Amino acid sequence: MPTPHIGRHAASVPLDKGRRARIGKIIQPNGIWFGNNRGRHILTISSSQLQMHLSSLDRYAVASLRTDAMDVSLYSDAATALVIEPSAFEYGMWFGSLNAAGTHAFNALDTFIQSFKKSGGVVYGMPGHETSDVYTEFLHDSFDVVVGRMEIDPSWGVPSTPQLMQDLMAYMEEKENSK
Amino acid sequence: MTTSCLLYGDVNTNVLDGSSVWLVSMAEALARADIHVTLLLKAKIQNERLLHPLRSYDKITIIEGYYKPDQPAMMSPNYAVRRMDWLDSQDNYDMILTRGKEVAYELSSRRHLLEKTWVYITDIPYPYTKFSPHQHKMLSRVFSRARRVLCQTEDARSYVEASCPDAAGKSILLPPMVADDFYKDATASHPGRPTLRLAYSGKFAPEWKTLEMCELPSLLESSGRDVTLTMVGDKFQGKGAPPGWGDEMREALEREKVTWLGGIPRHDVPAALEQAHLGLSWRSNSLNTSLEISTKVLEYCALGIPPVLNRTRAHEQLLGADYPFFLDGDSIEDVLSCLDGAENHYEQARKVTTEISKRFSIRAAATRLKEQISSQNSDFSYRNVQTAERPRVCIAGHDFKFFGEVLAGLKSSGEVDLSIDHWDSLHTHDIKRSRESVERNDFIVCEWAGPNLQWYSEHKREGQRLVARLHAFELNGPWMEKIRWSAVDEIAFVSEHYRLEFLQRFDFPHSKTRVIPNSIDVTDFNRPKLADSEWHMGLVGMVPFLKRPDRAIELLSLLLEHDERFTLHIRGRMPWEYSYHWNRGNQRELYQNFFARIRKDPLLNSRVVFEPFGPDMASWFRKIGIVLSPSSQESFHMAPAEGLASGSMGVIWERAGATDIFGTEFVVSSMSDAVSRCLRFAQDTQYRQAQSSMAKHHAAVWDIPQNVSDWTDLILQPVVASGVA
Repeated sequence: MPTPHIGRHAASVPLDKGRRARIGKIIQPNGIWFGNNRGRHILTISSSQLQMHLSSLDRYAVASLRTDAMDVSLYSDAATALVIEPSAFEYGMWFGSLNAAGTHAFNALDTFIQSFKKSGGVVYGMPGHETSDVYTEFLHDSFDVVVGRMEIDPSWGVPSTPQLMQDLMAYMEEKENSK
Repeated sequence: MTTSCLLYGDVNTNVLDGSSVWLVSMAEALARADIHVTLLLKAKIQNERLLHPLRSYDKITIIEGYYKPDQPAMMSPNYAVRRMDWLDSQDNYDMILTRGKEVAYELSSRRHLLEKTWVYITDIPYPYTKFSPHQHKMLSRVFSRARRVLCQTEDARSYVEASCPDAAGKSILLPPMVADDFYKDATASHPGRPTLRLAYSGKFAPEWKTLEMCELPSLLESSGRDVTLTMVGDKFQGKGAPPGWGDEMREALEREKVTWLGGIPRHDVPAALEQAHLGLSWRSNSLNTSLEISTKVLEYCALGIPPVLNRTRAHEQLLGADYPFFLDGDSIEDVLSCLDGAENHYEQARKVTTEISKRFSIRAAATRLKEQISSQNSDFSYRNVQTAERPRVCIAGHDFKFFGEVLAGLKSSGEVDLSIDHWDSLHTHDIKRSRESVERNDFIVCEWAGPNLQWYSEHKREGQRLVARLHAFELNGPWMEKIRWSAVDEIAFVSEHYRLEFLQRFDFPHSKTRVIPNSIDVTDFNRPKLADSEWHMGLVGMVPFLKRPDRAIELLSLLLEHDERFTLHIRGRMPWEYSYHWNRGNQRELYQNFFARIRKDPLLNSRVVFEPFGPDMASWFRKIGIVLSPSSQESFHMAPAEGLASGSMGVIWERAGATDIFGTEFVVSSMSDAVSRCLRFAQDTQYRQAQSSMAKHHAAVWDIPQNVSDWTDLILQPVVASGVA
């Protein structure tokens, strides 16, 4: 007896490889970036407050990374940093992506991050106190820099903390003070 | 009839470790579930330490493997499977249950064994980056052919289903088991202040924080607490530990107020720990990624010793988010802060953990196994009727996505000799194969009343029973006029509405029609929801546009005016992936407007997400609190039915036939009605719980056993009466 796919498996189709890029083009607001388009281009997985903070500084162009548009070709020419706020995984489109039930989304994010880093991007992680889920530690491992904990050997003579780090630390302080 | 099971674990029962203890517990649980167990051993018996308790069960037969004199007294996976095949040829077991990846791989080449095997594999590569293409191929092959896939936790189940979609629909939970001797009388008195007694049992390893544990008594003493620590175990991590760590650990075990009992027999562990107040399961944060629950934690719980453990989502799900002995970090300061005032929360925690531990007893495992085995999907009667004279039934059709449960149920019911005439498309088929089906079978079932029904109505034999299931789209098909209706014995419809519509349009007797809804594996969908899922709405499928994704967006937009946490997850293929619909200009225009609305509204944009389709629907529904069905037309609509089975609240737009299927409870009369229901569901816990219970209750009518019984009745009854069978 032949064994055709039955049930939900019969409805499975191969993934459309261009899907993410196409969704990105059709869904993202015109030009994707907001803020100062001549400034440094920053991708975020974050609260709208953090995005607004960065875009209000007039030195960044900011865009949200969508779970359904994680195609590095959409951003790699422009973006040089990805800022991740772990609390953003507790609501909205990233909800559940750090849980095993969100394996597809997490795998796609991890793949995106690897490609982003290969193309020269730096991943900034914001500290948080969220309850650890199965992918939380893997996410933390992908951070190149944890905001507030960047260590640069003084002997290198680097004059100051990078601007983006300063701005993210200022945001954290502002947030802390407003509590 | 008593079920028989061949049990094999790729583990050495002469050595006491987690996997050998599991195997023995599994044998016990199966026997207590009234199953005759044949336990095939990998290793020649050298001691009875673990096997001794099994000797008192008359339902357990222990068999040694075959070991060549000049080789180690252990069977290789290949040899074990050959041995299992031979045993099965003698005793024809109802089911086989195995533990181990290599054994499962070996079984995949013996389909007749694997199709009745429940596989338990604990070392599935994780995370996904550790999967090699070969491993993925092999595991997919195993899962596609195995009867059941056993998973230790919901997290493990979700991961397995996402990684190997073939496991979706056949995975079931097999939580860890705690041996009976760990269950103590929960009312036994424990001394309180001033002494706090801590205990740890297990391996000594850096990531398990065992070295730091030994510092706790002295650190707490400095703050005026009298603390003792009992350490049980004699295994020290070698490989992977920093140089000198083992020596440091041994020294620490000799510190004041630390009592090291060394390795003690398993049956003495409960007595060694029972005087402790708290059990330590403090681990490095890097271990928070585990998909499994620690059996040690559960053993502490069973002993009435609340565990001190890392706060993770899984642990919160197990013990409740307000459990007092969670560590909010993995530093020693986090532990000291957690233990501060421990006595104030001790009794409450003890009650919680004692109660929870009952779910993990061997008795509880036996009860679960009995239910799983006796369910329709696990029926084994087919093995007894393989050679019996059974009515021959052919299912003919091009698309079986709504027929999976029925096919599996008919196959396992054993009442019919089943074959499939799988059409290449709605219109094309292998005529030779279809002719053979006509010749061979007593009964023909056409899934979809399409050209397949037309062909069989023209070619069926005299006295051959021909039945069909009509969904909806067929009603307008040009083939409908060509079907020889007098040759069709009965038609099933998925809903009353479409039955009536058909009867209005075609001259066919009402008495030869019946309604059999689509079926759902209700048990599979009944999984715990993620915390905060009440803010998340799900829509499955948005093509063609009559699925009305625009309504879902409008609903979301209105809800966002009240609360920005609402999010819409749309799962399925994008419209451009369906060239038939995308190439129709009017539909493309509607979708362009739909996307433009999302594009122009930043808040909406951030709260709509498109997710690709996958068979792991039951896992996906864990994050969905509200399932939408905004379609203008549906013959049934499987996705909201599945959502209800998962405990999501349904929001079904009023349309022809909707209340026939979903009742009045979930059908909304207007957009404002939908908005108020969603708001209440998200904000009112009692309402949410009531809606969720009602949804599950409603979905029970679509469960597989009833459906398979209805189909068996439809296919066989009249012919049985006329003596054909």
